[in-house]
Amino acid sequence: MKKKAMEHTRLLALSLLGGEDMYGYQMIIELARRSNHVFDMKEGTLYPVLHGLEQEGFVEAYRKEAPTGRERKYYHLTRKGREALREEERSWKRYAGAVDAVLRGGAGVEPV
Amino acid sequence: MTRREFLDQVLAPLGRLTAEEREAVLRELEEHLEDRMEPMLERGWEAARAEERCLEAMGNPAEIGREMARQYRGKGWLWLGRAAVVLTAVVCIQALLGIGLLSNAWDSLAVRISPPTTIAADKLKNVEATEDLDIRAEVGNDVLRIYRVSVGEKEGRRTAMVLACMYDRLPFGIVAGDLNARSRLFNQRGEATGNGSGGTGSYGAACVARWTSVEPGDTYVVWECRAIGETIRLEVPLPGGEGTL
Repeated sequence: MKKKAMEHTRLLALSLLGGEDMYGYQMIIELARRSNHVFDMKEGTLYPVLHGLEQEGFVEAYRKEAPTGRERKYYHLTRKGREALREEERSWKRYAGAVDAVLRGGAGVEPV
Repeated sequence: MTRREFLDQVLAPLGRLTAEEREAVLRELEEHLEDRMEPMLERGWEAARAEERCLEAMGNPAEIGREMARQYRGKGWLWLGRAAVVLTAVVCIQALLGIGLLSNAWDSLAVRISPPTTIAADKLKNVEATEDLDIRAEVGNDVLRIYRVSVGEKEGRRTAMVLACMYDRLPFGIVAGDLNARSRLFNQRGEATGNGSGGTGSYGAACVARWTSVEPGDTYVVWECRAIGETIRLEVPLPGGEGTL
């Protein structure tokens, strides 16, 4: 199977930014909410991921006032990032489908 | 662990980043801690305890710092690459200037567009008239171009001064040497008396001024240029038209 080009956290970060521009803490809250607290990651590990995506041109950062009234560093998904997200989603679905098939007894093979 | 200790551990491996980038990392993490602590404090948490809890939730600071540094690993090579390109360009330009190739090429191009008009400008006093010309002749592989004539006074005599340049027919080519020595300027009576010259040039182009005495009624002077196996003579009309001098 093709090796996944992107760590899961990177994929999740891209996916979150696919909906709207967010700042780091907002992403942590949103990730926990959407995953029903299954993805309760160590919060500080998100930032190297975001900076890596920025270095690769998948996201752009800018500063803007948050709803709390404080200025925060927002991340915006670039066109390149959106294309990468689509590709990684397809890759992930193939991977998840294959795992699911194995767990169900193999792709079309009946368990003995 | 205090907040300061936590942030210091994150920043420790980030020496490759610029001061602005390090400051941005620091600011972003502080803002995160601020956002996370605020609701806890509102719920009545004691500040030191809330900070401790938030720092625990952030994870291992040394690991965060290492991961952050890894994201910028290519940056050092990027800057090194850019520096190498700039350095190479500087060395090449220095080398070209050093052996005169670049300045020769520039001179060859410059005289085609705007030849120098200040050559020997101080030699002619009380200038009566000046006219820009464009008289060209091929001399071997080069082009001789007469581009300015002036009439004035030199050492008490009415004098015509002509400016000419020579350059290779091919842009950036090398011009044959010593236009000055090969050129003479005659008046209408074939006299080259009073000839003098001034000039400038390189392997890319040569520009010279020559002058000769003229009488009232003279309408032209003749520029003579000797080349291998031939002598070129160009009639140069004096400014103001026939019979004005």
